[in-house]
Amino acid sequence: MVNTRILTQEFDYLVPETTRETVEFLGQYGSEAKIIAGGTDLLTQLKQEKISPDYLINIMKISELNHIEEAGGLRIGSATKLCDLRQYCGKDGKYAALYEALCLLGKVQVQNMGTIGGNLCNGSPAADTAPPLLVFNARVKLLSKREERPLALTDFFKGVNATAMAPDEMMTEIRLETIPDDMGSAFMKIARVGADISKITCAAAVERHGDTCASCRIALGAVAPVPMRAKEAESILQGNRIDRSLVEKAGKKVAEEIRPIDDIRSTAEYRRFIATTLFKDVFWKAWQRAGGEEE
Amino acid sequence: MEEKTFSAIGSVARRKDGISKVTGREIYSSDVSLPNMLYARVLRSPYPHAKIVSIDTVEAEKMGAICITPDNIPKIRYNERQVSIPEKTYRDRRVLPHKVRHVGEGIAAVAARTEALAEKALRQLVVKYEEVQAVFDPFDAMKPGAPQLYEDVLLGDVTLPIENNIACPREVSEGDVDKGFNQADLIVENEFSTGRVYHSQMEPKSVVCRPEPDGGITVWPTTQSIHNVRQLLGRIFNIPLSKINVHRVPIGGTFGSSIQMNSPIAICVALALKSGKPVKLVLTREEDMYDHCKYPSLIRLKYGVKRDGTLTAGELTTVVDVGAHNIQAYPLLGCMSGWFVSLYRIPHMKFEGKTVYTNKVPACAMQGYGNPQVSFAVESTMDIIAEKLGVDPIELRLKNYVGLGETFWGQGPTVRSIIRSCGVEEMLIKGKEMIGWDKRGRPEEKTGRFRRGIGVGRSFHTSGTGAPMPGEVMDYSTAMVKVNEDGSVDFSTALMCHGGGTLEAGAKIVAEEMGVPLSMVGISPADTRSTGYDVCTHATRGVYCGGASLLKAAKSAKKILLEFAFRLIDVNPDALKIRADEESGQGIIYLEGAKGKSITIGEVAKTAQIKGWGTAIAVESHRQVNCPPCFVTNFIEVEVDTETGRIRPVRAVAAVDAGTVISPDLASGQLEGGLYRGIGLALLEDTDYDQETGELTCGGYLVDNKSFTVVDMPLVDDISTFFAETYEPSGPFGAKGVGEAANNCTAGAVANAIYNAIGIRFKDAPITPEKVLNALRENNQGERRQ
Repeated sequence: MVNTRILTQEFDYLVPETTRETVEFLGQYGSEAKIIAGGTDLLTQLKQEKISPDYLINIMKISELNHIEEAGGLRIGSATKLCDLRQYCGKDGKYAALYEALCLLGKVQVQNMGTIGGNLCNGSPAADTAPPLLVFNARVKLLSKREERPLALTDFFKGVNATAMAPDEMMTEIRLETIPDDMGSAFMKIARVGADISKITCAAAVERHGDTCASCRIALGAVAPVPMRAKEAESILQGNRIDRSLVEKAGKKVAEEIRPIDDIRSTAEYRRFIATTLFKDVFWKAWQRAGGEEE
Repeated sequence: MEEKTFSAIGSVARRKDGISKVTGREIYSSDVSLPNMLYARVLRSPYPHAKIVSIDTVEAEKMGAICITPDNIPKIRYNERQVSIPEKTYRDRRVLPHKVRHVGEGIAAVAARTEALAEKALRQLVVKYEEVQAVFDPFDAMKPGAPQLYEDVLLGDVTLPIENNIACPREVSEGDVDKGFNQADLIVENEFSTGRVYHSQMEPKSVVCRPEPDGGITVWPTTQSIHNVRQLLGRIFNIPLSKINVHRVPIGGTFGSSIQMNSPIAICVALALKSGKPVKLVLTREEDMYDHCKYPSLIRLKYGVKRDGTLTAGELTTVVDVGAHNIQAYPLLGCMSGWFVSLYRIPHMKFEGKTVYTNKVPACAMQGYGNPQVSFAVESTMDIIAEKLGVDPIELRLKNYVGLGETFWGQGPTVRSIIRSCGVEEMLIKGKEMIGWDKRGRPEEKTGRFRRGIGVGRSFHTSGTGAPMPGEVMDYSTAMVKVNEDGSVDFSTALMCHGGGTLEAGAKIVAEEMGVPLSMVGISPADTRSTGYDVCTHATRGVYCGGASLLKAAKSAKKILLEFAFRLIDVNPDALKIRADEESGQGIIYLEGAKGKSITIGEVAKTAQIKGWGTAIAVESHRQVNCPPCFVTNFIEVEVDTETGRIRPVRAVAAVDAGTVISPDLASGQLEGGLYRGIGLALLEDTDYDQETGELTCGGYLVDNKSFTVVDMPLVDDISTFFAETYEPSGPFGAKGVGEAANNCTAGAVANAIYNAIGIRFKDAPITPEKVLNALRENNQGERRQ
């Protein structure tokens, strides 16, 4: 019987100190190797024998992967711990959606061990940081011995536990666009209990000019094979005067755009039904924030 | 009632095991490590129902593993629970079976130098199975032609054929139920169900066994009863009890999951005996989830009631899906009838229960033992009746509850006693004020997306299973108390602490009676060799029954001590008193009003030693001849999000009538823990099965078998607890139990609160957001639906 305690697999454990060293290993071992950062997802997969790498490459000793800096937008090293990023985003409301996602992601132990890059590279449709990063137009930097290539996060997710990363590539950085002053954002999550994998998540970032929505990005998690943008709903709102009926209309569209399934956490029917409500809650919160209104 | 002033009893003190627990220095079973120890792993069936044709161990043995299979373990059929008298004990289990009856049942085991090596060796075992059709639904299982899990089992030592997979039926009736229903103006009948909840105790079941040179064994298991483990191991392995020593090890919570001798224990012993080396076996979380669960319930409940609210008759029919083994199905049915009949007065009653085998994880006792299930049905029905009659739900409860002076048989028809203490009314009246009952409003008045409702639930649990006459379950405890030469006191008992502070309460009882400061009372380590029999720490009996045995032993030790004091200060021992003096850390023996006539316990004990008078020590066995109810009441406020169906418990008042409260802080903690568990039963917890494979749909993973977290509970400031001011004449210093009672009424209170919020009655727990939203959508006219 499969379990999550006993690790029977044998592998070589590599601890490089630079990304250069890391991509050398990756170039050499390719799909025989797995990168381990916080290990919150990887270790259970290893024990459950969902993966069986010959090499495990620990990247937590690489200081260049652990940084948070503002330089024409936010740059986050891929091995930055979730708790550090949470603390950074909590300073002000600029990255509210990301901050809210980080607060709701797992509990203390997972936040203290897990990394932002790990949350994305795991390729889970329910990755809590994905929707906020999508609405902040995040790009990721992928590095290999061959090249360094930037990729829009929208193009990064390819399916359940599948990403655009080649076996010899690693993620080194996540970059967010500069957040305009009149942008507000929010994230909400519905799960069975606190510290849980989501039934559905939603993030929105809106630029507000008075009563008009200058731009709007909406993203959802756990309702499709990948974290997804709801572009048709976005176009309903974009450039238009915001009122209740328009937001309702966009919410209905969100429910149409998602592709949920039945699983142990909930049903497709339930997810579709509450998507509209969840979106509206998220949108109005982001809208309020964009207008600098009291919460 | 006698006015009592206590010193240790009712005090709030740092727990004696507190520091070792919070610093990680407590040694649990999985921490026990012995020289040359091997690690064991168990091979578990991937099939829900199959015969084992053969098991080839050659490859595993080549790796250096010691292997056991059904062919080389004792052929004894046993019941892992040793609490019922032998002739009421259904025996259907073997250490390793030739036929598996649920996915995850152990069929072979290996021991090796490391756990990883044992796991690898396990995979080298080659098993030939012959699959048999499985049955997962209890009603399907009872149909003619359904796959049969057992041809027969043993009842005591007599072979009992099993027909239609019915593990055991039980009927109980009093009066004439038809006559009772004929007298009613209103008959209310409904079906209720609750889930197959996994205990989710923090510590998975574990055990270490060391074979001894004399052919005996020493065992460190997770258990609630070291003596029952010893007796059963003696029977299975044919070892004299004097050669088996079972240690009491601190346990990481149980919720009832270790009342029985856990299945890994006998497997570990068999491996230790075969290898001649100490063996450790620690279940993984996934194995643990495939080992045990709460009894689910399906209850049809019918009440007859007069226009004035008087109940005339009640009938409860239940089918309990016990899974693959009958651990304690017979007493469960007896108790369910008792929970039903002892909650509200019904002159005519009928109970009809069937427990049914299916190819699922075997169910066993879990906090409340059928009581949360019955109380969910009964308390929901009380609100339904109250609404139909147009009376306040609290008034209806006050009119019908079983209280002071009435016969109580919560533990089933053979455990009857008279109620001598009762705080039901006090808790309902005070709780009603605290929660703001009169302002709760009616469902139809509530509008908007978020709607709040307040519900009440009441219940009880028994304090132990004692009774004036011996019944079908055993119940007594043994304790030793001795005075040390410096005036401190040791006590020993086989009683277990599951985390709720049972031994701490024991220390307070001893301190109070001996007149020594609590800090001077030591809790001795316990094993089966150095303690007398204690049935089990279950049935909310720790303080009331176990504590009473400690009180009895303390009284006897004190008598000897005062005789010694008499020789030194020349005062009639019957006239002497003892008081605890915190400053000197001593108990001071004194004659009231007589200056100079006092001496410390230490001085007396030391002198007695020097002069060779002996030690003030006593051992007593004690059976309580009463079985008093500890009543409990919850008021809960919930908020329903009508757009998502999510239910948030926002406020709660939890009260217990525990008689004298020994440790108010820990008792409050029990009430809060009970709320937590009860809210989980109402809103979340269940285990579901794949109908094709017989596997748990959560796979045994905690990640998909959720329990609520602290953020899902009401804020600490929004939970109030209080104790009814009662005194139980038969309890140690007036005490009764708390433990299981704490969660018995919660699910009913939650369902009633939901009804008060949105006017929809949910009868099938867990009441998930998906169910709520569906019901709200079907009910968009907004009419009430009971």
